[in-house]
Amino acid sequence: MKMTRRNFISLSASAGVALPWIVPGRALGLNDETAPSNRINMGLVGMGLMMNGHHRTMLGKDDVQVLAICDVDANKRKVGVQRTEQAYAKKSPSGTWSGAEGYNEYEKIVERDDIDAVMVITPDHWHAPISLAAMKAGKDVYCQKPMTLTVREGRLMSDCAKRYGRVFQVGSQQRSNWAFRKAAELVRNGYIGKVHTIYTRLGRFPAPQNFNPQPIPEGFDYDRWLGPTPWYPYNIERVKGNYGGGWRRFWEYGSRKNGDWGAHHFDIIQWALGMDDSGPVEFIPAGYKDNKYQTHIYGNGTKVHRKDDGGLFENHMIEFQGTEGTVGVSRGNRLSTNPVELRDIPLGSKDVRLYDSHEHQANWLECIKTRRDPICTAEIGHRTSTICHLSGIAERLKRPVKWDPDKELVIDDDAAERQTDRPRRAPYGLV
Amino acid sequence: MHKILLTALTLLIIPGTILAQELAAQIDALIPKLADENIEARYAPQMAFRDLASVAGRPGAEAERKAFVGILLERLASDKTPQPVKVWFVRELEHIAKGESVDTLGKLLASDDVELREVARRALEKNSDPAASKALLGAMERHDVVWQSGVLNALGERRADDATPSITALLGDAELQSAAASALGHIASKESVAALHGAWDGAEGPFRQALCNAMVEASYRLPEVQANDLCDFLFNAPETPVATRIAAWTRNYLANPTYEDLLAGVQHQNLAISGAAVRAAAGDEASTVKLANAMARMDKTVQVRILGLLGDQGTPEAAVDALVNASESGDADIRRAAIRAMETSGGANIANALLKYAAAGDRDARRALTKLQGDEAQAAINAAIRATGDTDDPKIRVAAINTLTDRNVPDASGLLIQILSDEKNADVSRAAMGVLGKIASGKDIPPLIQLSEKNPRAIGSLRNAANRASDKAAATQAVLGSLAKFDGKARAAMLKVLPVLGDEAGMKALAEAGDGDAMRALAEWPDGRAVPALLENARNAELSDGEHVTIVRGIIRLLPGAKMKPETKVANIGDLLAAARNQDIRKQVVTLYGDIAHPSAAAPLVDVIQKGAFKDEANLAALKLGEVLLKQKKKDPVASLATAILETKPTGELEKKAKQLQKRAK
Repeated sequence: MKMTRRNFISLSASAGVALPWIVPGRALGLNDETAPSNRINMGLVGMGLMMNGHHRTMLGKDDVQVLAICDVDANKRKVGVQRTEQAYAKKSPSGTWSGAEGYNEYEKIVERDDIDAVMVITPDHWHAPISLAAMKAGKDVYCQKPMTLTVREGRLMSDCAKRYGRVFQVGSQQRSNWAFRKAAELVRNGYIGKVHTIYTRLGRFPAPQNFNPQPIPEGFDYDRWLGPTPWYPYNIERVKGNYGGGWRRFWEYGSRKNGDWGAHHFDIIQWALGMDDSGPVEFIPAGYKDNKYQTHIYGNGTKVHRKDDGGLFENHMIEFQGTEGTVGVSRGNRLSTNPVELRDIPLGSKDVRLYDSHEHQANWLECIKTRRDPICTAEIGHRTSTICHLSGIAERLKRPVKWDPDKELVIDDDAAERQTDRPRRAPYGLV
Repeated sequence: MHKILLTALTLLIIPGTILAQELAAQIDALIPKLADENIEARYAPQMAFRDLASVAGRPGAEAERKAFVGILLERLASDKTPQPVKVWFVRELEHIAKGESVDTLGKLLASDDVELREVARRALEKNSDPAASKALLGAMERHDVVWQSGVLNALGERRADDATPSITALLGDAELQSAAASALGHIASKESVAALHGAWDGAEGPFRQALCNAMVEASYRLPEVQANDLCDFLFNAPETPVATRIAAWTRNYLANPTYEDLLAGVQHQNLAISGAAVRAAAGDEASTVKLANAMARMDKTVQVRILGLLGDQGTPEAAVDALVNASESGDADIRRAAIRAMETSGGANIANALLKYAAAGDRDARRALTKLQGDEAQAAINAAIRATGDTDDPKIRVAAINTLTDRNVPDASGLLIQILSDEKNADVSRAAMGVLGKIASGKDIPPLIQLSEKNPRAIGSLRNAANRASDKAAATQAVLGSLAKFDGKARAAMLKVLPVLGDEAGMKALAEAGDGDAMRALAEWPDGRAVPALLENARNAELSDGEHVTIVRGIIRLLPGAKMKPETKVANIGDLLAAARNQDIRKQVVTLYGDIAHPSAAAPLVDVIQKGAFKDEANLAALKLGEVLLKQKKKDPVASLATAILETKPTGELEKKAKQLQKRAK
């Protein structure tokens, strides 16, 4: 039988249902021959807005034991520890539980031999340093999207996961949603013919700006929050983590909307086009010559336009246009097709079936036990993040950037190539 | 932006001296703005400066880049240039500077200004000229530990081989030894690795980890023999943490993959190493097959992991027997892992095994069956469906039939119709009928009609097929042509296929039939075209009360959206009120006035209100109609509606809203 590596992958984890089998602790083989129990001992890093849901989910999993909390804000750290202990106390026969430790430095979690896995839910600029350190210390990692701050970080992280045999899941949870998978399968299998144009809307953040200095709040380790990024005076607007701006609006800490919604939607587009181990060949910023929309182009000519002014097929988040039809897909399990019959058509026996996960975190936990590949590996996350970052570089340079996805090099543009990685502020280098 | 582009294009065609003057003028114009006392005001000029640098650094404009950088270097050397400006200049030099900038940036490394020397360090880290490493090395001893670790990182990133002795000296410095180890790992020369080896004995904690990380990093850059020796050392040293041992094993295996090494890794007593070894076989079909065929003799956990590998990659033909054998294991975990691995495979053997497990109630097997790939698997499923011999298990047939819902098999509905035509087993029939209802389409309508003649339960599938039919007219003719062959409940069910199709010919046939079953079907019509025929039959005294109510409710549902003049709709409501056989149904009809957004509905509704028969329903309909007419600026009928409501002496919310309506109508 002829095989291809990713096309045949299909592994599910049903939300809310006990894992189909729990490998005995000895079989986990996590840090050494013996694991303390069937449970995965977990450290959580970054207790901000995005961690709320993850924290709650992990506390509700019978096969997970949250043991460590890390945040550079003492108050968030304290709340995280309290929430953990209260949740476990409710489940404890004695009504008490006090086994969670809070840390300002993630290194203290990485150093703990009893921690099996780490969730890295920090701002983007901390993803690579923490994830690399954790993997090299033998931890499995769930990393918030976008996986990286720079293109090079992604290559390092993907290589690291392979070299150290780690189970690394990127938090691109749209892959674990029926509608997005079905959309990708319809596109991948040619149900709408040859795909020539794709639209997606990402929205907009306010422009970055300088802020006047403010006093650093007590209990907030601002130097460590900045970490490897350039130093700027503290201002609450720079560090807050709301969806409408905060740190997400700055290039220093991410790729703005390209790294925010783009990391989700570009990821689905990559999946649908079968480009999980490759990527586009050119990135054109909005406003360049006659290009109204930010665009990236694949080697076969397929164009992806970032169309933030709306008008997508049935108001979807992503619209795939093919020679024989259209597919639109959005959050909330919304999927529309033209012709409409495509929406519910089953796949044929020769069709490519994509990895089938119903719950993103559960998929990671199951793979920690089985050592199978999760649905969104570091390589996938790296390739998607590369699109986010190169789109951002083209936007800043205000000129197209040509890219060789095989060599992973910018073609004939030294200034753009230099921006595929960033020097890091000491003492926060990559391990 | 356009202005900058235009300037850049202009600069392309002017001589060098003038070009430099033009650039200098633009840069100098920005300097005071970049140093604005109001920090927030600096952002726009910073972006303007970035755009200038981007244009100057574009591909194919080396002369312009040189001129631009030269001006920046001049300004950086001047005491008159404010600090915030220098910082921004150096930030852009990080992207576009080359060898010409090293001296100036090197001098900035000695600055007492922390921010300025840090941006200079970053710019030198990115500078392609080898002299940049020398400048960085020269600054190593200055300032504090944080600074030194930054310089170490930069030298490591640059793979500054000449810096090895200086960096090696720092391996004994408790505060810098980890950063030094990391830099030596990146440099990855024979000397730097020797230095890492030299620090190995006695290293502890984070420094031990740093040495391990550095050695693994170096192993991917060293010549093969040295890399192999280094990883052998790491794998065998008793102090090495297991994660590093995994990395060392993986590098050496992947550099020279042999099945013997793989087997040794897979069977290693440390299950973490064993697990990594299993994963290292990914993409190597020959080794995967050998592992699969050898797994029965291995530890259970290893078996589960090998099965996981098969699941991730798809099972090669030569490993299918091993997979099927594992699926028959007495160990539940192995069995489950095998069945889940089958999801990504194909072939008749696997299909047959899964059918057996699915028939026994295994949910994973049922799921796997829907995902099996390839023609051979489908042929095996089809054969199982057709297997009607005495020794064939009906449960396997049911399991096979159930897969067709989730598999796009071109002739699946035909196969099921064929089975159903003379199926004896009730379970098989039930399963086939259920699946047929989900997958039948327009092309199946003629054979489904034939099947329905024998088995009226198939009419349900026929309705579903009708819903999916693209040629509704042809399907309608097929149904109409067959009606004479049905009677009683079967005929009634067949008639209800016609509204699903919604074709004019079907509607006419129902209207002409005029009997109760036809009217029930007509009442389900999808649009208002059926209203006249329904209205006509609402007056038909021959129909039962139940049939009458069905008809009236059909009209109530269809009339508001019907394509006819509003005045006609209003007249129809009046006719319907007259035809309705009881008060309950009349109450429902009265509410229809509120759904006709037209002034002609006002007068009859006022009339109903004044007669006082359906006070609550009529008042609510009047409020609704009044609101719509107000938006159309038809104030007179609104006033009459409001007055009519208030004359019924309403209380509470209704009174309040009626008064508001009256006020707004003035």
